[in-house]
Amino acid sequence: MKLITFISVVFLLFTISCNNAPDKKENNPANDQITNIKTPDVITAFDQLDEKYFHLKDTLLVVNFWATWCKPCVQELPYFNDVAKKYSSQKVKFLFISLDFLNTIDKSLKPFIQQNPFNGDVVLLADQDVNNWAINIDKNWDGAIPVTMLIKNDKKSAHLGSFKNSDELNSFIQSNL
Amino acid sequence: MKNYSKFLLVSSIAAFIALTAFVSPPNGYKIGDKAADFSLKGVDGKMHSLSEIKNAKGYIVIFTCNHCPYAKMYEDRIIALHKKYSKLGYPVVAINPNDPEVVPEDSFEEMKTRSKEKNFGFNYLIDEKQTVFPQYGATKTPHVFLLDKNKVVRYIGAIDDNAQSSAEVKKKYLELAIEAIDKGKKPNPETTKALGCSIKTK
Repeated sequence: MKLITFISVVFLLFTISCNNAPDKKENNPANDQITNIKTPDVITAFDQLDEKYFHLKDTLLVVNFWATWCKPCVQELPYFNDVAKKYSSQKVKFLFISLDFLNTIDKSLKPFIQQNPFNGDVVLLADQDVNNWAINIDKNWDGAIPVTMLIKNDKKSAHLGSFKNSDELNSFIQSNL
Repeated sequence: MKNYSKFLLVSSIAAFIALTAFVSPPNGYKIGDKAADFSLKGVDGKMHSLSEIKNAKGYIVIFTCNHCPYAKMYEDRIIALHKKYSKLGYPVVAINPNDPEVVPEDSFEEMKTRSKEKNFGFNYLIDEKQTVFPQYGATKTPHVFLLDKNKVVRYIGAIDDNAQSSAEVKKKYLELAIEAIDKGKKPNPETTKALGCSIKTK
C-alpha cells in the first residue's frame, strides 16, 4: 500500500512538472525572443517574386538561389556576408532565395536563418514548376543550385554554380556594377 | 622544304586537336545524339550495360543517389515508373554519379542497403570512375535521359513538374515523353529543367 502511494505521488509530481514545463517557457522573457523568429517571406509563384523584388531603380540586386539541404550553397553563404560589407555604402542589395520545402521550413529554413547571419532579405520560393521559371534566371541554367544572378535596371547576368571564395564573388559583382 | 611542310602539317593537326578539345568541352548529350553504352557495377555486385537488356524499346536512364532530398522525394516515383514501364519495354536504369568520399551516404554499401530496403526492382549502378555522368551531361540528381531502342537521346530533364508533392503533379513530363516515343512521335517538351543536387566530385 505504501509503495502504491509512493508511486502515485511520484507519478503525480512528474505529471505536474511536465505540465508546468511549457508554461514556464512561455513566461520566460528570454524564450519570448526565440519564439519571435525571423520568418521568411513565402512566395508561391515566380512572377510575384519578380514583381515584388526584382525591379529596383539604379540599384544592383545580388540574388542568390540556395537551400539548407544544398551543401555547396551553405558553404558559399559566408562569402556573401563578407562581400556585402564592402558594398554597405553603395547601391547594392542582397536577396537570398531559398528553395527549401514549404512543408518542412519549421525544421529547416526557420532555425537556419535564426542561427546564421544574412545581409539581406530571405525569401522562400515555393514555385515547384521550375521548368516554367528557369529561363528567367539564365538560358543555360538547368536547375542545379547554387546559382547567383545580378539584376540592375532589368539587366540580368548569372553565375552558374558556386563561388570558390569571396574574391570570385566580388569580381563577379564588380564586373556588373 | 619537305620537312618544313611536314612540320606545318603535324603542328596544324596538333593545334586542331588542342583547339577542338578546348572549344568543345564535353557538354553532354543533346536531343538526337546517340548515347554510348557503359559497363557499371550494380548493387548485385555484377557489371551491367544497356545492351544486356533484351527486347528493350527504350531506356529510362536516371542519374540519382541516396542522399539528395530531391532524389529521395522521387524515389517512390522512380520505383513506380520501372514497375509500369519495364513491362512495356522501357526499364529504369539508375546511376549514382556521386563520389562517396565526398558524400558517404552515397557509398556502394549504402546503395545496396537502400535498394534492398525499398525493393528497387531496377538496376542501381555506381559511376565509380565518374566518367559516365559527364559523357551524358548530367549535372544533378535526379536527372533523366530517355533513350529509344537505338540508344538515341529523346528526352532530357525532369520526371514531372512537382518534386515535393506527387499528388499535385500536373505535367508528367517523363511519362508523356515515353508515350510519345512509343507511338513514334517526338516528345513535347523534349527537354525540361528541374531542381536537384549538384553532382559531387572531388
